[in-house]
Amino acid sequence: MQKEEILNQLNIIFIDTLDNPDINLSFHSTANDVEDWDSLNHIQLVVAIEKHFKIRFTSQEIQSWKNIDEMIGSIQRKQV
Amino acid sequence: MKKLLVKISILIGIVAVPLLLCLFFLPDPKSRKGLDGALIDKHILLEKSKPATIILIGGSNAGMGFKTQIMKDSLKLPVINAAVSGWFGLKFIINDVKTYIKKNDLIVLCVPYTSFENTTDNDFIGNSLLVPVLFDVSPKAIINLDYPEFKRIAPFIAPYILAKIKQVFIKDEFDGLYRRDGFNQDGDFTAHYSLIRTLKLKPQPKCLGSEGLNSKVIPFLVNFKQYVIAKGATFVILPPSIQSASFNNQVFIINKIDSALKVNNLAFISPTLRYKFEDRYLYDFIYHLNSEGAELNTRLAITDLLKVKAVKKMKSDDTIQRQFHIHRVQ
Amino acid sequence: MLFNSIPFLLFFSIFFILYWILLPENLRIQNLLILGGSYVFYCWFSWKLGLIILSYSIIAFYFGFYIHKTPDLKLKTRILHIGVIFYVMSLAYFKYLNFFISSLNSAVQFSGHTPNLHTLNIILPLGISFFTFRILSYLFDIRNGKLEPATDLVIFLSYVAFFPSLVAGPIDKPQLLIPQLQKSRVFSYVKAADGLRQILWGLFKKIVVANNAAGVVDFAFGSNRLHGFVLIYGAFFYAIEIYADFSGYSDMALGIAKLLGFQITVNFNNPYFSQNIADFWRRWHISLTSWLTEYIFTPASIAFRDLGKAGSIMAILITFLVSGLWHGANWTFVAWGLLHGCYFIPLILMGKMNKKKSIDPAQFLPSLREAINMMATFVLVMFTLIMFKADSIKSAANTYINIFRIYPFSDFKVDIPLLIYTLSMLAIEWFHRDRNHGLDIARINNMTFRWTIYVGFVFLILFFIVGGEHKNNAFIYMKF
Repeated sequence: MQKEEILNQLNIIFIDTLDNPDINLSFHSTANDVEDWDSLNHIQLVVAIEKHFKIRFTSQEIQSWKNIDEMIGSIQRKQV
Repeated sequence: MKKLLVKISILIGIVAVPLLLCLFFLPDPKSRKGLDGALIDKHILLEKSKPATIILIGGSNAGMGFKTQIMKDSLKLPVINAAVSGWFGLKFIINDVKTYIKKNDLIVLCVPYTSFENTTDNDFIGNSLLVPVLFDVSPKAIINLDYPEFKRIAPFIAPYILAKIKQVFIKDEFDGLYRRDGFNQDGDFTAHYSLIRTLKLKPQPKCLGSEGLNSKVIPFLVNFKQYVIAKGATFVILPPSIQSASFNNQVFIINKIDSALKVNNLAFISPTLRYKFEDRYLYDFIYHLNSEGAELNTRLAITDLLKVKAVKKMKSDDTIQRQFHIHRVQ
Repeated sequence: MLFNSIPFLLFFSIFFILYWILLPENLRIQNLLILGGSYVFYCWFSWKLGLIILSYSIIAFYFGFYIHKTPDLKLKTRILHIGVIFYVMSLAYFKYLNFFISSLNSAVQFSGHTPNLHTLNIILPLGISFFTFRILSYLFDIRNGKLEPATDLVIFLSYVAFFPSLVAGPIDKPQLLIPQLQKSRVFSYVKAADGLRQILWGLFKKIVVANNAAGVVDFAFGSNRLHGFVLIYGAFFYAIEIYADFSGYSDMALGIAKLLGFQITVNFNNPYFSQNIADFWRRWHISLTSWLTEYIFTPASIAFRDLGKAGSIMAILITFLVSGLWHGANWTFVAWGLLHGCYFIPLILMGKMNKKKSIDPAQFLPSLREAINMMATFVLVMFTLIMFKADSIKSAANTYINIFRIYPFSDFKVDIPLLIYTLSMLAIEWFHRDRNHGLDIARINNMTFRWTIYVGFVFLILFFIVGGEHKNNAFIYMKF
């Protein structure tokens, strides 16, 4: 899947999970940029993402993402 | 950096200066009316005394423990009770009397045994009560303070300043028993004579046998004795009046004090167990005597003082005797 | 040394001047001074403690390199685990061996046998929970690739033993402090003045509020002949005491660090203005919450993520179990931790745990809803503090029951001055909730006004700093 498409889908997942319709993700978005995205609800997002894309991340991977771009990278790798 | 240090110094100055002003210059009516104020009267007595006077010094045990008039009548010698409170610390008590010692005087020290013990330095260096004395009643004693003493009383200074400031706004009605006007014109504390003790006196606990003495006390007293002798006067130590039960429990350390004093040529002028008192002679503390007790204590002391060489000399000296009679008539 | 003591005042005055005057901007000298000063500070308590922290730091330094150099992830993790086990075991040894032995003895006794293990006389190294967690954070982050190992031993030793944060936190992340140690500090008047203001604020909370509250607390919990309401009064002031004590200390630590040109972790953010328990833990002992979140809660949540809400609940309970144990070797701390964990359950079930609740700084007063939330959260926390304070579960249970006892109100009088100081503290922190600390008043232009405040606070602190409250001088969190 292309990066942009993943980004769009992620955006929907974020809006849904964090209950915030104003979220607008970019590749460089980090937890600091998105309201309500902190380590506490990071897991909820991960579960939602895993469910949506039907993939499974490792604990290492989950804790390694520094921004959306890296997250998308992991998703892409899983989809191969 | 300099700017910061300057500002910090200014802040410290703004805080410290008014505090110091309050400490040294704000009057303290409460302490004037209280026990410390009595020191002023004692100083007057000491000033007015003629040479060859018997001067009793010590803690509240001595202030409450003697009937000076009986002593004067019996010994036919001038006697002053210059004792106020043990809370000033032994060091202060001794240093305070130094300037008033005249030729042929007899200084009789009578302090509780705790003054010699190693428990805390409180009885040697003094306690919170010393603070109002130093800053209000007898400021020149501040010069004699050394660092450990300053450290000891430092925590009490701030609350003292606060108390002084409070008094400017709230007139504290001072109505406790222990106050300046509880002393009579000879310096004896008599305010409690008419009162009856309501509580039982718990005796001091038994000695463990391992207690030590405060090593600073005896050298200090030895020093004082030399000073007194140099002035042509004499210095002796009288055992304090103590509750009998407490004496029995503390006999180990009392004997230790006794031997230590003997070794240093400062022996008590009589055996310590002469001054054991049953509870009926005591007021509110194991060292405080009531009227009956004071009378008994005085008579014991008279008998013992008569054995002191200096007293015998004072009694046989014509000039001294003449002076006494003239003084008495006045 | 305690921050609010004469020895520390002397030590720090000399240290401060040496630090900024002796070859300023020479990084090496600055760091050596920090290291030397930190060890002097720590060894003041006992030179043996200095030996412990030194050896632990050196071991961690080399462990960090081994973990980093190992390319294979599994091997990395194994080395990490060896390190973690070493540190956790030694923490357990110092903190919990007595607890473990006496619990074991109780269990053995309960089953009818005679216990024969004796508690050893182990002295708890001061601040060991804090510096152990600093070290563990360092090792975890190296394994996770979030951090390169420190190359300079002096810097690393200084990170672990950094004296402002040594005795009772904050638990600084290596990524925060090590880079600051790698650059020379330049004196900034603005930062230093801010640091002094924060120290003043911390002293006020500690000396004026906490020390006085301690007296009330001792009185309320000390007598069995008081009305149950007095226990509530006591619990209220215990909550105030522990906040003023700990946050006051943290303010002093931050202020002292600022005076030396460092920015260390903020540890408190007006926790009693929280609107729910999750909010509370994001504002109370923030550095510990962050540590637990990153190294316990998140890995546990990830591991249990398939279990949905039940997984989150398990993760939070485990986290708070660890938190309870971290605080001390007593079942009361475990119970305290689990209580807090349970408080999260409704939030997790309702999906509200992560919703940040902030009150607009421009708002003058909280809304009714917000005020109710704050009071409810406060009461919940206050309830758990009775457990935290108790010597044993039994004693805590007794206290809880005694809240309902009826007794005449004879011996009881509300400490009005203390109430005034407490309300002032809360009011000041409320109106300054968007600032760094209560006395962050640099922006007030009127110098006379500012200086009046400084002088007023100094006087207030001076009058309480002595006079019979000596026994309350030590910080509550120092024994952790």
